[in-house]
Amino acid sequence: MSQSDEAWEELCLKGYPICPGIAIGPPFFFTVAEENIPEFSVPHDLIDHEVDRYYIALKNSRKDLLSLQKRLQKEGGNEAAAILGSHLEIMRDPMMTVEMEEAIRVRCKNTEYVFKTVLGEYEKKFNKIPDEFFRERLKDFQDISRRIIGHLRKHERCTLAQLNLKSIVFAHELSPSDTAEANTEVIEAFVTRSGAETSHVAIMARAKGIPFVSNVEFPDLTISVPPKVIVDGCAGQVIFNPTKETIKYFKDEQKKLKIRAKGLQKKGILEAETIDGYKTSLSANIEMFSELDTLHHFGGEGVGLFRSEYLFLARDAFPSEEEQFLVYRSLVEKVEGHPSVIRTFDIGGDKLGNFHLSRYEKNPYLGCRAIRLMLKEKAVFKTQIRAILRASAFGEVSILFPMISGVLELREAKEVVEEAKTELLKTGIPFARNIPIGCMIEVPSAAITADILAKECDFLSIGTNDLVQYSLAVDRGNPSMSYLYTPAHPSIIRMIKMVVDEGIKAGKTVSVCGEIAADPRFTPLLLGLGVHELSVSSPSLPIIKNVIRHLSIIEAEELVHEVLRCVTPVEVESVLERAYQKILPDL
Amino acid sequence: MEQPLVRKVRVKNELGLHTRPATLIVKLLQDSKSEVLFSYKKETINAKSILSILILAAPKNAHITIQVKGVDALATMERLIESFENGFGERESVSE
Repeated sequence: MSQSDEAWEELCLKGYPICPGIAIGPPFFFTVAEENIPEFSVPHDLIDHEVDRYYIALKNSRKDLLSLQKRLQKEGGNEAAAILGSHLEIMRDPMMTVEMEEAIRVRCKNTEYVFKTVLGEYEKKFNKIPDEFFRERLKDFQDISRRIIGHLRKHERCTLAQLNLKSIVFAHELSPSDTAEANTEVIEAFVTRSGAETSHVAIMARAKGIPFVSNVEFPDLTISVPPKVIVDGCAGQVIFNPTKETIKYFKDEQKKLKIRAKGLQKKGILEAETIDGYKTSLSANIEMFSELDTLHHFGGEGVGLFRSEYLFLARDAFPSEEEQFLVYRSLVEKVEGHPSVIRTFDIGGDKLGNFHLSRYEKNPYLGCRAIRLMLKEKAVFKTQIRAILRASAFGEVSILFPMISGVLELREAKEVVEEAKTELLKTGIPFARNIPIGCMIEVPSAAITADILAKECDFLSIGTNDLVQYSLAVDRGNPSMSYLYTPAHPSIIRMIKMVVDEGIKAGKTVSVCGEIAADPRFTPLLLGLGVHELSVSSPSLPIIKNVIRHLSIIEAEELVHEVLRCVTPVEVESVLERAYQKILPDL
Repeated sequence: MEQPLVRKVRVKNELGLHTRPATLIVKLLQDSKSEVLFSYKKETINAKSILSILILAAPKNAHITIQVKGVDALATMERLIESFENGFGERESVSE
């Protein structure tokens, strides 16, 4: 047989389905500069050149950090600037200067190879040190080395922004800044080796309706690139070198999905109302501004969660008040007539990206992030609050605080709002005086004290992604533990019930904005529990609305009783599945 | 060839040679014109490097051998020893 397609065998790999949909196309390998570093010997007379290359990369890295630091200081991110200061300190360390030079000269190898090997040796030594103080340094160290290697290998440094052919992106892992600068128009699908259902790339893929399968152990595609790959985001599989029959099958499936989606979208303009007349509010989670254009098209009634931090994850600094104001104002104006909920910066943990605002922590999810970070970085926080307040003069907008764990944090955050209001009043800048203030319920302590919080704010918004992670003590990014991560756990159902009940008692709106809201199997349960508002990613809107329109609230309430009797997640899931099949047997 | 000054010191502060003392040592040696080496167990390192000091991972009560060689060796050694003696301004023991 000749060197044709037959030389390849069809290969089907399994992974986790993260975002449904089918894509067929050529693969694009997204590598980071640290991967696949070549090794070669350098003759003695050229060693000076290698040493020079190292010092130039070091100088450029230093320049990066200095300009980043300047910008941060200007914007009040003093803590972050201090971390960059310690990075600069490390770059001046003899270990990174004269000792590295000596290593290049002694080993007679190319700079990037020597650098990487020497760093590897250092890392091993650092790893042996039991003390936490040292561990923190190791992270600084890795961060710095990534930057230096990036400068040494400028040509290998690829970004998703460079992608211009419609392709399926394969990566080991994608960071928030990688995906933030991606040109999603040409990304057909994502396939990653690691990553989790609630990572930034997953949220973005869902927002854009890009099929995504994670935890796929794909082969090294840099050696031989297969011409065509199929990604099935529904079943969570990736097929290399598909046969003609396979391609035909998936093309047909792709068509069917498109027809169904179109049918649902047509019904998008209808109200999110159950068959027995119970009206709910169905709004969208938004992270990219471009999504606003498709919001009405998908049948969204407003923005239930504007993840403000996504606006600038690809950048190195916080935007100024003026810049934020312009964004929030056009958000409010674009949504016209419907409310927008702006969640204040929720950074830390997996979304830290380029910011380095929080100090490296042993356990960032339990550390200084979201509202905790903002209450420490009050200048940054107040800038944002002022920008939101100014936008409130142009349309209905609310402020939502993430990761509140108790009423004291809520009070302190509200105080900042009051301060910002006083400042604006003094300068005569208009804003909505009674701007609603909401509290995210995503920490178990907040759920348990929902009655206290409900009294001191205007609405509650349950963020199930984090609530599940914190309640079940499961790291959502850890693939070996993901079997424990489920919103169907009876504890989660009870907690949601508790929060909704307390919200109703206090006369406050309760919305749900985590992934659970976008899972149609949970829709009847949430409505039955009394949730007033669901906020989901735009492409999920038609599906959820369709479920709501086929549902009777009385049946939904009965379903709640049945679910509350379940003692395991599996039981909960099967009860939900059965109810769902009854409501929509055709799906 | 001049002989280096050699002295042995004990790490007195509770947390050992962690980031803060290491930073202090490096700052203290910034203006020194001498070569300064620390030895602990089998490792000998350049004391002007924070990272190298950290790698020593010297805990409380570790005995460090200091070698100083250069024009201002004596003054440098004196300042170093003073720093070690006062536990880098940290408390020697913490009672819980």
